[in-house]
Amino acid sequence: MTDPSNKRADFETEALPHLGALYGTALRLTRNERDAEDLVQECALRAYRFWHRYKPGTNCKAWMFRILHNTFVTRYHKRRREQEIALAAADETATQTESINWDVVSQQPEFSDAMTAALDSLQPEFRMAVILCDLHELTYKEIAEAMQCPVGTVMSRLHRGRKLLQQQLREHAVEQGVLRANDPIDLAAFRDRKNSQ
Amino acid sequence: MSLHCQDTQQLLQPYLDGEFDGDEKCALEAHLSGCKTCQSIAQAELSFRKAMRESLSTPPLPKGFRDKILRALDESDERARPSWGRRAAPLAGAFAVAAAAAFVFGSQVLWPVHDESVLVRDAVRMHQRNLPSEVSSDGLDSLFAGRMEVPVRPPPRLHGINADIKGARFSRLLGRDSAEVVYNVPGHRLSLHIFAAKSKVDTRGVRREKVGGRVFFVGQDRGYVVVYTQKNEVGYVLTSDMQAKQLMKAFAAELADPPTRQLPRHQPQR
Repeated sequence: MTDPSNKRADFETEALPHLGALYGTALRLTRNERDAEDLVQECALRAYRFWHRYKPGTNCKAWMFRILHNTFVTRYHKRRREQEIALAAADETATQTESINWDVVSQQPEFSDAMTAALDSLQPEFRMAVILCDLHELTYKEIAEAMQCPVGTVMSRLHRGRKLLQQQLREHAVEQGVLRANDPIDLAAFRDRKNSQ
Repeated sequence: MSLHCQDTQQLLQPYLDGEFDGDEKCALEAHLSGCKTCQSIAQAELSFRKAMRESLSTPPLPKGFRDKILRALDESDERARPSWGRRAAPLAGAFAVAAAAAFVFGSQVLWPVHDESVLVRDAVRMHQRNLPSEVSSDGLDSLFAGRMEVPVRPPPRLHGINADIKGARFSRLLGRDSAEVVYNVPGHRLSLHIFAAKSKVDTRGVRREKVGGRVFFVGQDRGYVVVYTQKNEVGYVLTSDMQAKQLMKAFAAELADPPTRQLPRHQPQR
């Protein structure tokens, strides 16, 4: 429990530095700037209102993400059912294991756009898990708290989310001619092929 | 504990995410050190994460966004400050509050306060949130054109109270999509929600009043007045800290206007 008399100062010091991370995540969740701003503003106001519930010394960023996620889910509640159906469908497709060397693939122009598009295409629950883990380096426990789900669910969302991303980017790489269909590559193989052309 | 490739590959992601320590970590590392296939999968996973971090840059905060948040916090602080109309008085103070309200509103006593009205609660909540406008008055045509079930263009002018359109946004009220138009009235802020009212709006807990030949429903909460009326299955909810009579009078005159007349544009307030 924080000291109520320092509420504003504490909030500005502890919570507001995470605005950038929140906005970046909100932008990926909502996929447009206007909604992202609304979402972050609402999240900040809620966090401020419930600041007395924040335990000093715990991960404030994770706490803010929890509020962001809640706000997002409440706002987009209507679309949730559709998401759940899509989640079940995604389950079947994301099982492939490959050893692609992404250091090579990611050097290609447009890779960044392709990555953004692939992330945007994921169901929000996968997207959120991947963003929190890979971009904001939250632990599984923190992600579970932010998304209010068991750690096991976090694991499976991350696993499926990453596999789906890899699948899409693999297709993109094949389209760009960086990868051959059905042919996982490593750096040496890619160089060989380049040299032989 | 010794692991096979299948187990290792299943546990690889949490391992690479730093979720394991102790025995599990040792067992995974023991397998990885001797298995080229699993090593190359682990390498691929790591290279993917690196590629992801490098290609997804964090977008900068929109210009002025932090200030906007700070202003919103200021307003939140302002609202939290105890005042007669804002903070519910405990029983001992209830009579004093009632007397003060009666004094302030004189002949227009808005009493009793109905906490139970969904309409009032929702309208005040949206008004207080004061979310940013999507367009100034100039952009209203393009914002709502063809996107609302109900006619929003041109929005009511409210000349009777010297209102000036500040901006507008898509919003929600009472679980319905609404067009929210925000006005500056000297010394006050006024928001108007316009929405399809084919299904009945819940007016329990609010007072019915007739002004200028039009039926209004009026309620009050946290120092704000909420006024609801409807015409041709279009609902209008006004929320402000202005006096209810003044709002109803201006709005009754507004809705009496011929709806097809082309109305002049307003300049947004600087």
